Amino acid sequence: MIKVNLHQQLKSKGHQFVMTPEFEVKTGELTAIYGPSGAGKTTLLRQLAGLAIPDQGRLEVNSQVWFDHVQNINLKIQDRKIGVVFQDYALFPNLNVRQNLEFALEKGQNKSIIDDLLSTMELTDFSSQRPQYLSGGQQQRVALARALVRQPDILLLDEPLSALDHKLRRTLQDYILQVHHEFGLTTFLVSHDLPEIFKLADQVLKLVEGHVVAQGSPETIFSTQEINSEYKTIGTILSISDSKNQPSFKVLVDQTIMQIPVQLEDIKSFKTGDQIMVVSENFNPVVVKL
Amino acid sequence: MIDWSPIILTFELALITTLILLVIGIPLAYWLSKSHSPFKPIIEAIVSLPLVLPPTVLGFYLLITFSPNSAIGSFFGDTLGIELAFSFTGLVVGSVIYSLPFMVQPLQAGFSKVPKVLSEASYSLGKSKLQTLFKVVLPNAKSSTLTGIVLAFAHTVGEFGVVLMIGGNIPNETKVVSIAIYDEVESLNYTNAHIYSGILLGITFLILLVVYSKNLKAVFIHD
Repeated sequence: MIKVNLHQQLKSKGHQFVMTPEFEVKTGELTAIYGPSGAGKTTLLRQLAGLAIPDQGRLEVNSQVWFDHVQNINLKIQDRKIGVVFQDYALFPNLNVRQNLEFALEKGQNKSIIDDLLSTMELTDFSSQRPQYLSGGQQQRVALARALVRQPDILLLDEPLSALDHKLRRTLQDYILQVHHEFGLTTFLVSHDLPEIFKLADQVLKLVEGHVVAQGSPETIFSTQEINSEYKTIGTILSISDSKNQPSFKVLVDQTIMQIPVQLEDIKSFKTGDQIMVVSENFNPVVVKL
Repeated sequence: MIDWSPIILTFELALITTLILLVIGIPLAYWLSKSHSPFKPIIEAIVSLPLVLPPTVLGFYLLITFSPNSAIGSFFGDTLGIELAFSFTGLVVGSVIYSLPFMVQPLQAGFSKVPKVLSEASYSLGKSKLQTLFKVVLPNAKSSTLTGIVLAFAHTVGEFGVVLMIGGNIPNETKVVSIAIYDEVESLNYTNAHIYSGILLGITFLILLVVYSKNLKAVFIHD
């Protein structure tokens, strides 16, 4: 069990606010930290890691006190059993992939974990390459593998997939899920991406201005706001087909091209490049110009 | 035939000075690159003083400090048995102070450029601050370290005013090549002055050429 009850004065984008995260998380869960920019999501990860020092409060991980203001306890980051994947990966450019992983070895630790991790992450072929010559997805896997070398209890992921394209995101989400279960980790993942949260997270912490305003499964957190019973999405018209049999729009939604059947009389009031909202009513798509 | 000892002495002085400056400069520059202490500007100003101060002023104050009449001079002389004024040891101390900014400033700039997140990643992987400095920060500030070494070495080879003030002109002890050239010119012995100057010019140019040559850059400054 991880028990968090912290207090820290913060400045975010010019305005000051007090960060007071208070929550409990069961060991072995994957928790997504969700919230608007400047809500303190990264700061919360940094507090857990020991990179940001709260003014007050207490942080307890599996009955071990990591931070306690009253007892004057602040476990050094080096002594916390954590693995961190930073937003821009923070791989050491002077070391190759294998050396990046070996750097994390503890004194006397069995080196075989390096080969295991390289193979799990399918990095064996790149092990002698410097990270700057790898693709974003490969770098992300190196960062994830490196964070696991010390066999941490807690894995902290700060928007690790935000710089990757959609296809790669989906693949890497599988890696995260795999290591989360395989290594028996308790994982915290900062994410803005709802599909990602639904796919990975057991529960969501919704953070607003440093406070946990909601905690629960992705379904309970998002069902009242972001998800409506009717399907609704926003896209851009790429092309218009006025074929008499099946008039349709090709619409770019996110990174996917969708073909939306429309009524022939609708076509006249739209042109390519228009931003539209596609609403599904009783499985029939209705197109609304924005 | 010229006396080679001033040349040997010069490079001995430059080498020792550079090594000491590396030992002092790395932690000092690292602290300056990270610190938010209110004392930081004071330390930075002191480190940079030799850049703007005439060498004779620095030499004069060092001479006063090294003199057996001063507390520091008498401590070194009487307690430790080390004479600082008009001695090679004194030259080393003077050169270290005189060339300090040439080592510290490039190092500080280089350390500041290494992203903070790399150090944080190192801490999160269980490494101490010292391990992080030597295994992460320094290897990623190679070109700045090399610049610091070259500048400190070259600056020590070229110093004159400070050496003259605190070392005088004692053969095999304080008579470095710049003093020897001055001495030869004073004695109207232009041939020897030419030889010393030519050797100094040639060797220092070669050192700089080797360091800045593209091949070595590829080895040292890569990434």
